[in-house]
Amino acid sequence: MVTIDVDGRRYQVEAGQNLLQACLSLGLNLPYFCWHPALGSVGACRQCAVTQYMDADDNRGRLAMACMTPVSDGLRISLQNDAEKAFRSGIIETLMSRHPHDCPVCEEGGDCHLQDMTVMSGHHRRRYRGAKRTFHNQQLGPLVRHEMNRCITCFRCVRFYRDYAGGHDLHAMGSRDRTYFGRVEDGNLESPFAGNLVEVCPTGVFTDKPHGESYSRKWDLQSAPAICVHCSLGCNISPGARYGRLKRVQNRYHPDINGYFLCDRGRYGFRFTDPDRRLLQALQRTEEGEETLSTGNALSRLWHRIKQADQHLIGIGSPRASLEANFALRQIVGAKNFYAGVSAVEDEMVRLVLQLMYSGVRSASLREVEQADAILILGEDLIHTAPRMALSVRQAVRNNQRRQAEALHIPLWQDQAVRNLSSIALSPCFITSSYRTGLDEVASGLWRNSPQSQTLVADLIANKINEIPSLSKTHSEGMQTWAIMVADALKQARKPLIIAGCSTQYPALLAAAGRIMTALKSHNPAARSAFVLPECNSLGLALLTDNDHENRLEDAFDAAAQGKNHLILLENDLYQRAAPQQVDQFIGQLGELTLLDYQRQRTFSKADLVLPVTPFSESGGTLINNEGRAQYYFAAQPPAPGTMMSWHWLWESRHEARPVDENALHLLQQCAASDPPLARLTELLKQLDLSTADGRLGYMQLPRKSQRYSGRTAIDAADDVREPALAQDAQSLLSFDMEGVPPTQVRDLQLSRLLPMSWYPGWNSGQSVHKFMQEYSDGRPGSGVLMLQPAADHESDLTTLQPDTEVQQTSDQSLTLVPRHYLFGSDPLSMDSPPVASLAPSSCLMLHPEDAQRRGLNPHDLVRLESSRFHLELPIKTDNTLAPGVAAIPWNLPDQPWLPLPQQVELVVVQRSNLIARDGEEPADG
Amino acid sequence: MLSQLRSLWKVFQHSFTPPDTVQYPEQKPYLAPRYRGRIVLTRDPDGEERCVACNLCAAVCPVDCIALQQGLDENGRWQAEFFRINFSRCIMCGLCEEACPTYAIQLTPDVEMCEYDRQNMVYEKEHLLIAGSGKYPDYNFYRVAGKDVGVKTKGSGDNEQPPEDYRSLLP
Repeated sequence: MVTIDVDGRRYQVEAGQNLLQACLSLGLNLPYFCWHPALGSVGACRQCAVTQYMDADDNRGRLAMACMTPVSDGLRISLQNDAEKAFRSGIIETLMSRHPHDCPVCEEGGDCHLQDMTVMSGHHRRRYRGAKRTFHNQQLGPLVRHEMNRCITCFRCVRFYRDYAGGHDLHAMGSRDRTYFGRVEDGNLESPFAGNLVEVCPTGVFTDKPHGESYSRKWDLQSAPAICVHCSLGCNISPGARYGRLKRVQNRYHPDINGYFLCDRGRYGFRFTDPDRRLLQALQRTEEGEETLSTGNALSRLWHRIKQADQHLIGIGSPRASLEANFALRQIVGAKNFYAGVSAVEDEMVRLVLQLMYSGVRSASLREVEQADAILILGEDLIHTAPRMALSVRQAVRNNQRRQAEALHIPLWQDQAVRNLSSIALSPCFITSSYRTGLDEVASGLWRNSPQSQTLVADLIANKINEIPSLSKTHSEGMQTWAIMVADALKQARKPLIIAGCSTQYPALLAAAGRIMTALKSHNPAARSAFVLPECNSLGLALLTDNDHENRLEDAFDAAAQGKNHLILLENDLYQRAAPQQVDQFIGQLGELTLLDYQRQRTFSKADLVLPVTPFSESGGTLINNEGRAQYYFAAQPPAPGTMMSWHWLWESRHEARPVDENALHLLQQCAASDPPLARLTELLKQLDLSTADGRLGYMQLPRKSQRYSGRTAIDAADDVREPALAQDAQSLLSFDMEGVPPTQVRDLQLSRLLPMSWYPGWNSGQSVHKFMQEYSDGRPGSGVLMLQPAADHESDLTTLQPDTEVQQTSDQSLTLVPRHYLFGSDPLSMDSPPVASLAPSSCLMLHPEDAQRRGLNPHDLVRLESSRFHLELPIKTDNTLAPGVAAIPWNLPDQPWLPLPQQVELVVVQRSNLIARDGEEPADG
Repeated sequence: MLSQLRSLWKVFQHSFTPPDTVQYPEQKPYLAPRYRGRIVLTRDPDGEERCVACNLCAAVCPVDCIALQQGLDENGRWQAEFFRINFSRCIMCGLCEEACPTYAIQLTPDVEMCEYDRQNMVYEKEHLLIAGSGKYPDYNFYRVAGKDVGVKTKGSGDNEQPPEDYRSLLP
C-alpha cells in the first residue's frame, strides 16, 4: 500500500497500479477513454490528465496522464484545478467536434461512456463550425452493428479484438482522421468474442444488433444478477427485460470467472426465452386430442398422477435445470427413483470429474487459468466447449512475456510495452485433439490424432511425470518425444494447468487426464486442473445423483421395462441423451409421461401432460459450475402468466390445491441438510438470506428496475387503464420495483455483486463497474460458494482410473467418428435463438481430404455411416485440419439424432454430388 | 362620504363593462398555439413519422404515462412499433415536447378530452399521429443526423463531408 495525495486528501492505495485505476477504485471521477482494466493503458486519448506536483511545496505542477503514471508513495496530484480541467474539456471538445448528431437513434445512448465523459468534463456546446467527417459502415454479421461515424479513435476495439481475444479480421485502417475500424470487406466477425465490442467500445460504433431491432434504453430494462446457462463455466450475466421479454444480456463482472467479457453464445443465445418461442400453456394429450389446462387444473392432474402412480413413479432430472428443480423432483419421486437425465457416457465422465475433485485435484477458476504458465489441453476445443476459458488460456500463454516484463520493471498495465516483448516465446501450451482447435495458433505443441491416440499420449505424459518407464509397443517414437516434451514443460512450470473435459465423449481420455493431474499434483502442489463439463448444472445434477443407487439414464430405461412406467421428466430432451430407437422404446413402455419444460423440443410431442415452466430469465435457482462453485441466479422478470418455476410446480403438487408458503431458500436448506456433498449450500444461503441482510438493507430490497424506469402507468394501459399491482418477490434480496436500496448505498452494504446492472450516478455505461471494485472480494453475497471440499478418504479411489488398454485397431476402411463441438450449434438452448442459429453449421460429415480421396469421395457426396450401433446418411465436407483416419460430425445439432461417439464407422456412398468439388475446403471456424 | 360615493360610482361603471365569463362550450376561448393541451405525434416535411422512438419523452415524463417500443423499418430507420400515452395520467406539463430531439411530440391547444370511460383516455400511435408537421414545419432530424436510413446518403446531410476513403494513405 502507498499513500497518495489527491486534491489535498490522503488515500491509501494498492501499489503497482496506475494512477487512473487508483483514482477510479477510490470512487473519484476522472474521465478516460482508451484505458480498460483488462486491456491496460496506452495513453492514446489524453483524456485522463491530472496535475502532478513534485512535492508539497510545488504549486505549479505539470500535466500528466493518469493512466500512464504509476502510483508511488507520497505522490501528490490534483484532479479539480483549472489547468487540468481546461485541458480535459479541450480534449473532449475536439473528440466531439465531429461526432454525429444521432444520440436519439443510437443504441448506446443512455449506456454510453462518451456521453458520461462529455457531461463529466462539462462540454455542452459545439463551437466547431466545420463539416463533419463521415464513413461508410460495414455489414459485420448478425451480432454486431457498425456505425463508424461515431468513432473517437480510442483503439479499444482492436486492442480487445486482436490483442486480447486473438481475432484476425478487425483492423485499424487508414491514416490521420480517416482511421477506420472494420474488416477488409463486409462479412461476419469471426471471433467468438465479437459481442464484447459492444461493451468495450466507449461510443456507439459497435452496437448489439439483435437488441437494436427491438431496442429499449438501459434505464428501461428490468435486470437481475443471473448466471449464463449455455456452458458449464457459470459466467455472470445481467439480462435486461422489458415488455415481458429479454432484450439483451450484458456481462456482469465476477473477478474469478468471466471478468469483463462474455462469449457470443452467452450474449446472444438468450432468445429461447422469448414468449413466442416457448411453452406457455399446460397441455394434456389424450387419445381424443390435445386439451389446454388452467394452472389449477394442471396442478391437480399432476397431484393425481403422483398419488396414483405410487410405486410406479420415476423422475429424470436435467443438467440444465437448477439444483432446486432437480432436488424438488428427487424429493417427489424418492432418491431411488430419481435418474440423471444425461447419456451414460456423460454420466460416467462427470462422475469421474467429481471423483477427481474429491481426491484433491482442485479445479481452477478462470482467474487461476490466467495465471498458469504451462498448459496442457486434452481433447477439448475450448473455443467451442467453454469459450470464456479459451479467452483465459489466451491470456495465460502471455505469462512468459509478463514475467520478462516484471524482470525489466515494466508495469503490466503498460500494455504496449509488454506486448513489445513479442520476441519472448509464449508460455508452453499443448493441445491434443482430433481436429484443429481455436487455440492451436497459440499452442507450442499439438497432438492431432484420434481420441485413442490422445489417451495413449496422455498416459505416457503421466508416466513420464511419475518417472515410470513405458514399455508398451503401441507408443511410436513421435509419441514418446512429444510426451517427454510436454512432461518436461509441465514439471518445470511453476503453475502448470491441465484442462480436460467431457466433449470428446471418451472417458478413457478423461481418466488419463486425471492421472496426469494426480501425478503433477504430487510433484507440484501449485499445479491446477480445469474441467469442462457438458452443461451449466452438470455438476449439480451429478452431486444430487451421487449415491449408491443405480440412477443412470439406462437404469431408468430398465425400470420402465420392469413396470415403473410413470415418468416425470424435468427440462430435458431425451432424444438428446440416447439413441432414438432406445428412447422410442422407453417412451412406448411408459404409461404416463409428464414433462416440465419451456422448450418445444423433441420429447415434447410425446408427453401426455406438459407443464410450462420458466427459463432462467424468470426463475431463481442455483447452478454449480465446472469448478464446483454454487451460484444463485435471480429472475429478471416474474414468471409469464400460466408458467411457474419447475420446483414450484412440483412442490405445489404435493399438497392438493393448498398454497405452500415455502420458497426456494427453504428448498435449498433442505437440500443442504439432506445431501452431505451439498452441505456448503448453507454458506450460499447465508449470502442470500434476507433476514441476515436485513440489518444492512434496512428492510429494503435491491430494485430490479432503474430509478428512471419509464412508462409505469402506460405499459399495461392498453389492456386495462387501471394499473396492476407490482409482482412481489418476497423473501428475496431483489424486488420487481424501482424503489429500494439506491446504487449509491450498495457499496456500503457490500452488495455490489448483486447489482442487477451496473450503474452509478454520472456513470451510466457499464464502465460504472469501477465504482464497485473495492467490494468485489470473496464471501460477499453473489460471489458463490465452492461446494467441493477434498475428502481424505477419496484418495484411494483413484486406483480405479486404470488406463483404457482397449485401443481399437483402425482398419484401412474404418474411420474413428468423433463429435465436433460448435459454439453456435452444439447447445440446443441457444439454437432457439435466431442470431445464433443463423451462424450454426449444417449437418455434415467432415473428412480429411486424403481420407476422402482414398475412398474416392468428393465433397457434397451423400454417404451412409455404418457402424455396429447406428446408420446415418450425411453429405461430405472435406477439412484438412482433421487428423487423418478421423471423421467428425457436428455435435448435438437440433435436427441430428444422438449418436454414441466416438465410434468406428465405415462409409458407403449413397449419392454422388454433381457439384464441383473444391479441395481443401474448410468450414469457417467460430 | 366622498369615498362612499366614489365606490358607488365605480360599481355603477362596472355595469357597462363587458363580462369576462365565456359561454363555453358555445363560445370557445382563444388558446395560443403554444398552449399545452392534447399531445400529438407529427410528421416531417417528407410526410414520414418524425418519432424515432428514442424514449426520451418517456424518460422525462414525471408521471410515466408514455410507453413505446422501438422498431426498425427496412432502411434501418428507427420508428415506434407502438406508442402509447395514458392521458388519464398525463398532467400536460410539456416536458416530453421539450425533451423530444426530433420535434415529433408536440402539445396542441386542444383541451377537450373528457370521456365517460377512462379506458378511452389511452391513446395509441394511430390516435396520436397527425398528418402535418405541427409547430416546426421544416425540421427533419435525419437530414442532420449522421445516420443513413434512406433519407439521405452518408455525407450528403447538412454540414457533412463526403465519406472518407480509408484505403487512402495520402497525408
